[in-house]
Amino acid sequence: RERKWGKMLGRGGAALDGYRRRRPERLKRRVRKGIPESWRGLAWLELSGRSCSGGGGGPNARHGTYCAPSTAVVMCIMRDLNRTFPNHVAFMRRQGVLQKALFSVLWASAAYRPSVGYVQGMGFLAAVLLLYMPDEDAFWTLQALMQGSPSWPERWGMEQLYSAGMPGLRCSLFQFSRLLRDVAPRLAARMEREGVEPELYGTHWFNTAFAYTLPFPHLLRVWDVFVAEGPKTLFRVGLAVLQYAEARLLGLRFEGLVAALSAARLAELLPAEPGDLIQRALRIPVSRRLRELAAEWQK
Amino acid sequence: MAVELQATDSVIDFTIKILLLGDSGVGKTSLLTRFAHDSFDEKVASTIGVDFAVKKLSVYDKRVKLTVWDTAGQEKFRTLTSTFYRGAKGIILVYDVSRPDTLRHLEEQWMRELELYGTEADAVRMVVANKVDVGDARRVSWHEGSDFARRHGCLFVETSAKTNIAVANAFEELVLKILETPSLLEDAGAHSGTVRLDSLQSGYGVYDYCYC
Repeated sequence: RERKWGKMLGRGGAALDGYRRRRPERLKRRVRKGIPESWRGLAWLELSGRSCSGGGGGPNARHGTYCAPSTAVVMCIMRDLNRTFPNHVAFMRRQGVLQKALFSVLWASAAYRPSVGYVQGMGFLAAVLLLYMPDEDAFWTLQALMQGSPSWPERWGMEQLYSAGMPGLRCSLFQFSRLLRDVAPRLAARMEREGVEPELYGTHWFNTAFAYTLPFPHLLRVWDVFVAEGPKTLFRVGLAVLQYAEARLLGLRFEGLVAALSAARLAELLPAEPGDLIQRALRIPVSRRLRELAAEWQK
Repeated sequence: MAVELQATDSVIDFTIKILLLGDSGVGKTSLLTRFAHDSFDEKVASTIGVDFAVKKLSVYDKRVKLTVWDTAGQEKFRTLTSTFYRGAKGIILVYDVSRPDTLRHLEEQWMRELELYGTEADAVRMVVANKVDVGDARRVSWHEGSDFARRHGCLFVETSAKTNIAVANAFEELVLKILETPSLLEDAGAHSGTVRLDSLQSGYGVYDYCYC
């Protein structure tokens, strides 16, 4: 598999675009099986379509052309540096290499996309990327995720989740609650009766693309698909988690439900094998319903 | 004095919702962790969305179950967090004594949010000045904090979640006040048990028992 991926990516990832055009289905299949650890960074960078998002420059080169973020935004970024994967060895050290890189990526992103600035949650996206690529690549990949990759079937990006008033996030949570009725009707009814709305547990599922809560082995497999296929993956994964855990959740009242679904304990509900979670998630069709529900939300 | 309690609601007299509000990074999550688990962790992730803890307390002869909602502090989340105000009987407004802007924001932003979205007219409000362990880095005096609280009709407590100063007291004082406000208890009876308000007057004070 390593060798296949090496060949598919080519030198510096240059061959992937061509491969995608020639063999889209095969590429999709290989991504869904999991990208080999050694190629993950490069593959994410290419799959996200960053090469289409301008390229060149990078966070350091852009200080001159964009306005520096306000002090309030910078302070907000700084306060979160110690609070992004605080227990991960790479991000633990105050002023450590990765904390500094995280700062520069978020700073540059706030400058590059002033309408969004910095919203809590973005740091987790940037941090996952930084574990696999240098800061400039992480910056561009983050921008591609924000904007939506041209190769994603749904043409919307994470930016919508962070814009003022968070209309995109609220729409996503509405869509999720309705999809849950289709996928796990008994659980959905139970949760609605107990008042456990997706706002109470799902905000960071979307807002950090599960980086806030999934264990890394699961998270990385989810991200392989998420980076290649876009945010609809997040719906599928969330639905798969609840569907898989349905029997255990059905007997619970409000407090039991919010506790079981809390960021600290979500891992207990997952299938042990990351591949199992991915397979379950990909069996759930969402695209058509997402479009219908988005239209319903607009009204 | 600790008393074992079964993890069932049958012995709970009241279930009370409490909301923690305030700017990002003032220590809402740490206050909650200190209160619910009596611990402090330097390495705590930013709260994204909302988090919960449940804590059972004995107040006078009443057994009270608190569900404490810990919300994201960043301004961008306000439209989302506004949905969490519903039914909150106690509101804890937190600021950081080393950051005067966090007290100013209580006045300029959080109080307004509360007016807009709070559903309980009689909800008990408390201002908590956190991080009093910072020593020389302190920028907001006790007087400024308590003046602010008095002007807005709030209780006031200075705390440190880190060094465990007055955290339990703050929550207990808030609960006492809620129990003394009959209008807040009308729909708080767990298992619709009969609510005897008269017995609240005879007091034993507050003690804590097993967190389940």
